[in-house]
Amino acid sequence: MESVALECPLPGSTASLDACRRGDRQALDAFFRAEIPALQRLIARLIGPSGDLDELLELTLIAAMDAFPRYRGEASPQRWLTRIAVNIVYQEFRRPERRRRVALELVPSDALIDQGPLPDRTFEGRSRVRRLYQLLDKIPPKKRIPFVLHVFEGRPIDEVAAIVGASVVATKSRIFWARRGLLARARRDPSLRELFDQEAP
Amino acid sequence: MSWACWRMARLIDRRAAGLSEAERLLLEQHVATCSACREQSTLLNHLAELSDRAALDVHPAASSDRLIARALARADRRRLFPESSTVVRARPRFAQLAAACAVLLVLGVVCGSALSRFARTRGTSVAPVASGAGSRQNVATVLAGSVFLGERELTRGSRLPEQSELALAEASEIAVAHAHVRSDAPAQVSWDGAHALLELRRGAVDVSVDPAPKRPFFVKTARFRVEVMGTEFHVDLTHVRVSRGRVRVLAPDGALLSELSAGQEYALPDTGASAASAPLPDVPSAPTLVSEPDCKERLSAARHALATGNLAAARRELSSALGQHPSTAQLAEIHMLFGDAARLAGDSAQASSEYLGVFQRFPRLPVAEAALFSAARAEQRAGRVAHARELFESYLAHYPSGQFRSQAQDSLAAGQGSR
Repeated sequence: MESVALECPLPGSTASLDACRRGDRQALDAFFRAEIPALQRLIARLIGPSGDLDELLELTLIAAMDAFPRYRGEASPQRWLTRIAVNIVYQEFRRPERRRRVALELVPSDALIDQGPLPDRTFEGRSRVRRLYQLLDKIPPKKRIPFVLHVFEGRPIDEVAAIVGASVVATKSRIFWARRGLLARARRDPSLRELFDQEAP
Repeated sequence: MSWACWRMARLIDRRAAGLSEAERLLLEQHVATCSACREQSTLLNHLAELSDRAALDVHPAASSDRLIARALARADRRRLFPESSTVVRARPRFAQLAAACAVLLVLGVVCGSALSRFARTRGTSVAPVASGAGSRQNVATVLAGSVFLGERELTRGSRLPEQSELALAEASEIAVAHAHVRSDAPAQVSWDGAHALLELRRGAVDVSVDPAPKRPFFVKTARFRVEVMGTEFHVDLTHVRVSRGRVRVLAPDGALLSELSAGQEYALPDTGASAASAPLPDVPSAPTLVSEPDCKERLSAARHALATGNLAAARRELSSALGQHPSTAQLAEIHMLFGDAARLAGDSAQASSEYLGVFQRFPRLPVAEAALFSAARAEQRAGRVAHARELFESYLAHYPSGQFRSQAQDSLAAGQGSR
């Protein structure tokens, strides 16, 4: 039988990016397949343990497909994709109904038979992660996103500034205020405060 | 906060991005002497660990294949319906939003009243039409496995033409309209996007239909058609097995063969020839319910069998229904149907006995009226005129304004005339 499948260039190569710009499905498929794990981690870090991860990932892929013909190659494809994902997350944060939703957490089956920490520790850890993101939810997205990208994700300030589309000075200022707000709330929060107290002499 | 602490805060923030050796030493020295910065550093460190956990605790992409295929399909739909884009959510401007809502409300009221007037004048209800613009929603895409369009193998994410003949290899999956079709073994299907109709030519498929769009979806074989709104079921050329929701199985002429709910199965009776090659009857005989159907379904099957003249099957179903703890109303109906079966078999005496039994045992049920009248007719047919006359008079006495009053009076008048 005749196969329609074409030889696909390496994802991220110039030929592959050109094919993606033309809307070649196989090239898009290969490109996204390579980028999905990093995108997933990024979105998860930004939104925390939420059931919206797959939906946001899907929206990111759709937006990237739409935007590919306009991608000029000035930034690396990864940074370009990160910027799209950050925009999608930003829009998600601004949806008013988001604040009324409670996500049901999926517990992976291997976590239930984990030989590592005891179940109460696992639960405690999960509740602390949830608590952290509840505190982050109180910080405006404009400040929260650069803070998470710089302080938690470890991206340099100038890269964060490029991703969020702000000047370096404005980005530093946003990170400063986000940091201050988060630390003040974390100090008042009993479960997070415990983390610090455990280490205090 | 001193100037030194201010600088150290920047270094603490940059720790994840990486510090030079000199910066690291500077930070360590400062933190050793400044308790406020030490506390900040420790706390931020822990928070960063929690954030790492959120990022790394993610389940591996449920299925990258499916995610990419879904995104490709949604991108296709957005190209067809650019106005329904969900990606860009602009900040709502409330004044504009309120104005738009008001306009929509007015339009809705105007259109609603116009439609209801139209429906009244035509004496029909307005039904949605599943063609034209609607068919544009019935996009079909390859999700996984090997799918062949004629001799050509389609790649994952390929869109299918609105009318297509497809061969699905093992473990293939396609998305057609609002349904996912999966084949565990080779199957041959044709897809008609305009009518959301999937025709199974050979093999078997598992179909999962999303109920959200509230649009019908049809799966057809040569001998029956399955109508679904939102459910999950397995279908081959002679069987339908429902895992979730409900489906209706219809004969090619539209007659209802069976209604199945989760866990039930419908099987066409074996005709002794393979379905692919044998000439097919227009209306199949009574369905055989493979799973244990309840009394209601037995009654339904019996009524269908009676309607198609299959008296043996009807009696079988009725006998089985008797063993399934029927309710009083069901028991009355079972005996009425036994009476009908006897009447159709030409045994009017037996029919009369069954009908009279219903009237005597269940006088308070609505069915008693029909039972008494039917008994009188059966007696009349059997030639027992005197007994028939008694029964007609009894009917008129019990039900002076009953639904068969005029027929009973006519029968009595005819009896007098003939005497």
